[in-house]
Amino acid sequence: MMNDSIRSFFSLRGYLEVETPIVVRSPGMEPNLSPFETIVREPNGTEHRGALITSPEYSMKKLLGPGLEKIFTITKVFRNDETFGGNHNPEFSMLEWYQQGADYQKCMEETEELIKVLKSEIRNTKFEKKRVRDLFLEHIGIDLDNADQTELLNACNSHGIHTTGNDTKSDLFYRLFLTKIEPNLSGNIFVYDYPKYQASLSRLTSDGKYGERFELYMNGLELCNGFTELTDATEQRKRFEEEAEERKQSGKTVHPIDEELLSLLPSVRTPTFGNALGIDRLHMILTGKTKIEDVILFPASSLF
Amino acid sequence: MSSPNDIKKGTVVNINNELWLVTYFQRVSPGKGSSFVRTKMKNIKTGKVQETNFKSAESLTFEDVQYKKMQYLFNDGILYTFMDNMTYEQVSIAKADMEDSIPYLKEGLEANVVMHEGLALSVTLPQKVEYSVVYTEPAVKGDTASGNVLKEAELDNGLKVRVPSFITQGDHILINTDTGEYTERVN
Repeated sequence: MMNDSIRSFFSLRGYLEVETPIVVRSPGMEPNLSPFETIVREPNGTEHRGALITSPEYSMKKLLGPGLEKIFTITKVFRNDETFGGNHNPEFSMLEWYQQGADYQKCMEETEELIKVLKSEIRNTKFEKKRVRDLFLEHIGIDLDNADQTELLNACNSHGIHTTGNDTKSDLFYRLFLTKIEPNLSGNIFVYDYPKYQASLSRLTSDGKYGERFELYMNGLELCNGFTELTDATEQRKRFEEEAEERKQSGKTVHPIDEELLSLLPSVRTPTFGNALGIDRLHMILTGKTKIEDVILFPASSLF
Repeated sequence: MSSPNDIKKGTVVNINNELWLVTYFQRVSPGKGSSFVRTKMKNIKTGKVQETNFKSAESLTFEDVQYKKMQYLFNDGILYTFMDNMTYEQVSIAKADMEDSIPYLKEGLEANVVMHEGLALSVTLPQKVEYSVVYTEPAVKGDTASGNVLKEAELDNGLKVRVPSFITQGDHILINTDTGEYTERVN
């Protein structure tokens, strides 16, 4: 039902629905994700290492390169080492959509329109939008424009937040975010412009300090993660290599870099936005449930 | 040394020589960077509850604690005494170490005493405990229409709670010992 509404929303706006593979060679490089790994075997015995996708992102971007302008997909994605239940399930449904020639501001507008089509009671409310920098000024009193490692550490200490000696700037930022910011995100709010050490695959803002990335929180639940996509293949390779190194350091499988993606990336227009939205979490919001296992017919806890 | 990824409900973590009992945990992954485990922990000595977030890569010291099923006997205002029904062994816990559990105690209540290196540190109560209602005003006609009306009731251990208006004197009810709220009537 909900997926039918999502499909008609996008087809009315000129998007093309695409299907992307689930078993791939390069499932994703994010240092904190653990893909399900497998072996793909040919009849003659030739074996290939493979894994289940953690997101359809790479395949989607490969379709943008050859010229598809507006695409969306609804697919199952898989993440190992996840908590059973609560906000997580190892297998879940994801909606991803991309549009060339538009940036993340346009994407936030479209996300808000999509949700209002699905949840008509909130049609007349305006979603809030806040920069991460403004949230830090308001709730913690530090300016991320020039906060260095020491300032972030001092802020943690003065709020009694637990830290460790080898915390990176990104770790300290996230400790503050989890403790002082996230619990204060009430209602429907877009949080955007994350510091560049949390930029992920997003383009940097014109001052070079933030990534053009946003998340939508609805009643405290993080629903999606969207970017103005990075289309610079050299920078992308650098970030992949850094992530591969982080995976190696933490003893995780280092999956091969997706060379096909890197070769197609330069033909993606700038700007292009992309957004990944958790469909099960959207279900939770639409039905007022607080646990993901209440919206999944066969949650992991009933299967394993 | 243990990893925050091994945290479960009931794990006892030693942080700067203070023991914290984990009451809630959830893994969180930011869009970029390390993943974290978000926890709510209760200080075993003081009962203070706080949220602490651990990076998955941190190493933690878990304390080896045993939970012994014991029955609450009596208190002298300072020490609260429990007994193991199998061995008749008795242990006493200082009032300050179990402050938040005291309102829910009643004679004969079975609880889990947290034992660490032979010492009784604290006690965790069952999440729901049954009591009988010794006093409550009868419901006023018309109040039940909205279905949400609560009234005060006094229970057999002296605890006062808010209950739905259909509860009458002599009813047996379950109370959530984490929140102090009424959960259901027992028939």
